[in-house]
Amino acid sequence: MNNKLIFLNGIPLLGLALLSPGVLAADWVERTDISGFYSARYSQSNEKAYFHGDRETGVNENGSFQGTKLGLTISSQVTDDLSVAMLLMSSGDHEDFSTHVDWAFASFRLSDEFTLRAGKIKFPVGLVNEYVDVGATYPWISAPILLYSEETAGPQATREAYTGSSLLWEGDVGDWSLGGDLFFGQVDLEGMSVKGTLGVTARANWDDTIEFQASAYEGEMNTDPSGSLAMMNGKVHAAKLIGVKLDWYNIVAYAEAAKVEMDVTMMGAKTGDSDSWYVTLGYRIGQFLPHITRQDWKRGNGNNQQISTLGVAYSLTDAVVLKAEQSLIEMDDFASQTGLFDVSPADGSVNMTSIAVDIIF
Amino acid sequence: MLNLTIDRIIKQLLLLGFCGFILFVSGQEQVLADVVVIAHKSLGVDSISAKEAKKVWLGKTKSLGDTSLKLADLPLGNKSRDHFYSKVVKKSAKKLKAYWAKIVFSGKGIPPKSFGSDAAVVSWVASTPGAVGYVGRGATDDSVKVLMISQ
Repeated sequence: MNNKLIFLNGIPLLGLALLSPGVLAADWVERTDISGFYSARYSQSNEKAYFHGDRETGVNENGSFQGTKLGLTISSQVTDDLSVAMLLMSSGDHEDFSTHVDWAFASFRLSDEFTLRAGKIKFPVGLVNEYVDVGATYPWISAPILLYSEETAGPQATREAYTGSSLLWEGDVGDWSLGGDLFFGQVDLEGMSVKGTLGVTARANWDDTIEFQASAYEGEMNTDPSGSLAMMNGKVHAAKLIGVKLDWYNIVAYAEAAKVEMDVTMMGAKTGDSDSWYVTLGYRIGQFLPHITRQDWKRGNGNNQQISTLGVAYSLTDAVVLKAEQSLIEMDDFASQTGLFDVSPADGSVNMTSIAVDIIF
Repeated sequence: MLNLTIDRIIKQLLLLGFCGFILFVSGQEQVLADVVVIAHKSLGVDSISAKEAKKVWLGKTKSLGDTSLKLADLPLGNKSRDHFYSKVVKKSAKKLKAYWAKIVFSGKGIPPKSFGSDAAVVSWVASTPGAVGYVGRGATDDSVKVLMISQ
């Protein structure tokens, strides 16, 4: 009798054991979303010096596919309140299209308004920085580079990601959606890091028509004390950004400004300080979005660079956008400065043509 | 004379039938165009406003009546979906795609789970505690709770 009971009880147990991986897999699929994006870009200038990168990653007269990338976001709802998300990305900017984890973090929902996050998180500073790799989410081929560049020699107003934690708040007042993000962690850069980065971002959005954002953060630079960037070691890097985005009927506009301060003085000038801003105006005509952008970057040592861009984005479908841009990169004193070029260009005005296709799936 | 009268009667009947058919079809379309927001019967809320429904399907409201929500969606091109997003959520397909792209690609949320038909949504909502969905008015049945009707 007992044997029979054990046998009978064993059938469903065995069945459960055999079925459970499949059941678990099916359950995981139900709770998981996989979304992707792909951007193919080609740029060519009329200058030998490489822009925004070196021989491997920059753009010059020989042309470059810099910025071409494929990304997959995997988000899974582990429990009602706990979720994990990661972005796998393969791009030409990272070791010749090798795949890397761009960010990965866990989110714990404390209430409808508050969420706690921990892990490697996209830096929440800049209107489009949290999805800056996804070209289909904005009108340009690349987010305005004189504010969004993360190059060591660039403005360093925004960062790619930080490892740490954040407390998100989301609420509503009337038709306005409000949000806040208090974050703390370490930013890892090429050959250096920014330790103890503490910052806050506040957002206000009215029905995706107009959005305001303001951010402030600071951290301590950590560089090799015996290396070429030793003068930055231990210095405080601080930045403040404000931005506004408008998407009203057929009018699309973006404007952002950033002020970066770092207590580094070379030859009597604060070389680590910089001010950068850009303004974009666009007007939708059917599926076409022609736009014009003016960018400006001034460093503490007086060096400066400006970029004027005329572009058009054509929405082939809701998920496929074709883009073309013509840019004029200007520098006042091109003989003695580099801006975002790797070396001083031969002329103070450089033309650059870019085309791209952005897809989300 | 008799033939002419019969001919006229037949024509009038055909005309009447055609008008009736048109009225029937347009009536059917009206019923199909109405959308109802449905929920699992255990949900501790009996009705929601269009404004609350909008916040739910944009991922801003994540729970109702102390129950965490699981959202059902319908595919692009579905008439109930077109009605729901234009009349209740008030976002075009293009703006909705852009909205979710920003959330998904920053890891801040997961879009509603998409089902192939109204019947599939009703079946899933009926069997999943915390589930909410929207379907054409004629597609719902007693297995789920109706929270809102959009006409």
